Amino acid sequence: MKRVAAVVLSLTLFASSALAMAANAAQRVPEFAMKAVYLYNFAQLTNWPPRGEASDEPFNVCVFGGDEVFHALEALEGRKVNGHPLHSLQIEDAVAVRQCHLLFLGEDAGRRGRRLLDGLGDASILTVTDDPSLADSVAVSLVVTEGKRLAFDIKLGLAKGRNLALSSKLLRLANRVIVE
Amino acid sequence: MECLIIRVISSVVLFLGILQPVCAGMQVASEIVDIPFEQLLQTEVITAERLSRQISAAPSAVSVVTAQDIRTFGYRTLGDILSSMRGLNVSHDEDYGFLTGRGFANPNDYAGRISLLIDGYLAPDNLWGQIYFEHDGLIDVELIERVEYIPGSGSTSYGDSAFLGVINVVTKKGGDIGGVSVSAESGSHGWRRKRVSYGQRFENGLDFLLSVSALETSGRTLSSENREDFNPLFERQGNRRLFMKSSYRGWSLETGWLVRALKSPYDTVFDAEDRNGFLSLKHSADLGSSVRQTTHVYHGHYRYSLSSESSGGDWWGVDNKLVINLAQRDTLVLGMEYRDDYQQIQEIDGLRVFEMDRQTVSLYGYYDFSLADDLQATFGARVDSRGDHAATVSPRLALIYSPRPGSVFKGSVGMANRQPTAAAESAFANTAPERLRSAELVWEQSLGVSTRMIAAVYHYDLNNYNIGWWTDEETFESFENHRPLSAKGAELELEHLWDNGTRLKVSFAHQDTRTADSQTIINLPKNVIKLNLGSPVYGDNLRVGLGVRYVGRYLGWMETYDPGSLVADLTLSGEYGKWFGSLSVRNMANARYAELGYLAYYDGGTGRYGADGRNVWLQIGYTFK
Repeated sequence: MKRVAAVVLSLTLFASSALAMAANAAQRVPEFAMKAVYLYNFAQLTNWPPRGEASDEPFNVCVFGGDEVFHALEALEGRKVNGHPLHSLQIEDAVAVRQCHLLFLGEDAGRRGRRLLDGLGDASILTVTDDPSLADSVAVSLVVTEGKRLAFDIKLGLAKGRNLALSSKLLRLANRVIVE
Repeated sequence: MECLIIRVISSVVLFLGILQPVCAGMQVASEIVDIPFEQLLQTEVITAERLSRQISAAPSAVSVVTAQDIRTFGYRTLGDILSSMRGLNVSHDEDYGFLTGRGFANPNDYAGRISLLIDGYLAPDNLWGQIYFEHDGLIDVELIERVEYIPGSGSTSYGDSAFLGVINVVTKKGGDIGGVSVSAESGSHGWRRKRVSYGQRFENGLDFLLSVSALETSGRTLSSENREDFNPLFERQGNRRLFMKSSYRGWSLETGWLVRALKSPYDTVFDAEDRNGFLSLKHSADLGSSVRQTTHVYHGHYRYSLSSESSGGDWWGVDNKLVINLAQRDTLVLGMEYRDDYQQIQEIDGLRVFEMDRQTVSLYGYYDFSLADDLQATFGARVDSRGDHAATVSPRLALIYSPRPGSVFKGSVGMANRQPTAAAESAFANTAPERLRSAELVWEQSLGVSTRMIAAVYHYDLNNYNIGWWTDEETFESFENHRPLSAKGAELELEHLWDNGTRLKVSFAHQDTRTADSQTIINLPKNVIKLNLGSPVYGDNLRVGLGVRYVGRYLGWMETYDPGSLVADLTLSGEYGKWFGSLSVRNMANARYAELGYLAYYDGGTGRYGADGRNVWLQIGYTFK
């Protein structure tokens, strides 16, 4: 019996290592890198009301409770969004949120994220989340489909209320557009 | 022992060695940022593994096991799942499983005082007040979506049976199966198991799941070669399970039935049987924009029979709950439950030797409110009024402080009550409720990306602890009866995820429970260490899972200590198209150790049972979509 188990164990380990060697790097994109690039594309396809900023002022992408997305955004630092260099920052409170153009609420945002959204008023901030429990309260919500594609839903009313003009291309690419 | 440790460590090293190549080839955002958006929308994403999150709102140090963990680590029963969790230890005799953790430890009390919730239905029987999680349990693990163990008293929400904690089982939906799934299992000691499940979510919103399974096994082999150390009584057993679940709009209907047969190795007159079943109907509806009402009606049944003896009970109840969303995201929950335990019986030769019926009315609620942006408070209480007993109140106050995302401190104090079970009332003279005063501090911290730590300390004071056993046919001796017990402990758990999906969870639990005269209690290991390492080895298709459990020494029935044990299980699981399969080697190093079980006067035994030795388990399945 011992011998049988030892053989099974060795075979298991051998098979595992052989298969691991064979594992190839597939042409697929890690979820959080993809989410960061989506945020960049959302920024490109949205018009903010003029704030009278100089062109060297940063375009601020703020992240609350989404460490992985914030990490992935670092690779996009300095890229131009409507002429302004992209800058990503992690915010902690309602005061810091005033400087944001785009606010991403990650899965760690929880209840504080909800309160942060409540306190935004009508500030011209594009709100995005990948947390299903916050999806009702933001302009753009991200969702991974069954086919493992990253899709997004738009709540048009929530964008318009913040004086944001979403381009027709963005609306066309959305999975769902809720007008209300 | 040293040999064991070396074997386990070398397995871990081998295991980590094979993980390296998979890490290559990760793309970063800057490499794909110039790809047209339209094209990205069509590109497959590698979904990141998540650190498992608790879904219950309890201010406790919750342990979570998901459907993926069940597959990765080859868990075959709910008992396997529980024994992988922080601080919990599961032991067995030939018939039942026993739970140990956080100061509760007496196997003669079975697994009472921790409740089991199956999709909101409270599953303990109403005679012994115990839960069933091995082959006598209601649910096949393949139907489980997630299991949460919520340590600390849940009596504020669920009453008596949740006195020292709650195990919350959430089952899969029909849509999660999406067709017909069949599986067959084979393993050591004549293990044979078959299962057919059908599940579907229809266009009109109806979700339906139906599953049946059958198991036969010739029990366990002893891990010891020196068999006289252990109780040699092991039985063949088998079970049949049926589970159905359907939901449509605000309605959901669920039913589960189990028959478990025990075949004695000595004589068919010792053959025994457990029957367990429930029916549960729920309806939820919004009353206006900020009030949600849920009504739950349930019926439960349990019978144990051994030749001419039969015992068990039947019960039903109705629970009505309102969830009210107030301004500022505050929440108020109010509920009322009526439960009728209309039958609690013990029969010999068709003659009722014990009979009881009792009714309980309960009021419960909690108020969840913000004191500041980063400080939240929850106050909850439950009042239970049962038959001729005085009403009991179980309140709890918790403060939750989250100074920044990823950092949470939870502090709670509470009192809980447990009325004696019907079986205890038939045996004990003193039927005062057991009382618990508890305090717990929990710190949950994200340490950078994909690492999380949970630390907890707790202190329980337990009064009127009612446990005992029959020393002969006439004498029931209550053990530690009415003595105060004091339990203290500390727990630490670390979880880390690598980019390629490798997941490591390590936990350490230290616990110490003392009687008033500083005696330690039986079957309580002071130290329990768990390690779970799961990793993909071939894309998303194949995973290896290593589970290691160390359970420290504990005091046995005979006032001597049993040594600690170190056990390692290895599982290879995978999916290929519509096929799925698992191969496990459990107790790889063939560790020899005893588990503590029921101490019965008629055995003349020691209550020690040899744990299962090295054994192999194979599962193959196919899903027709």
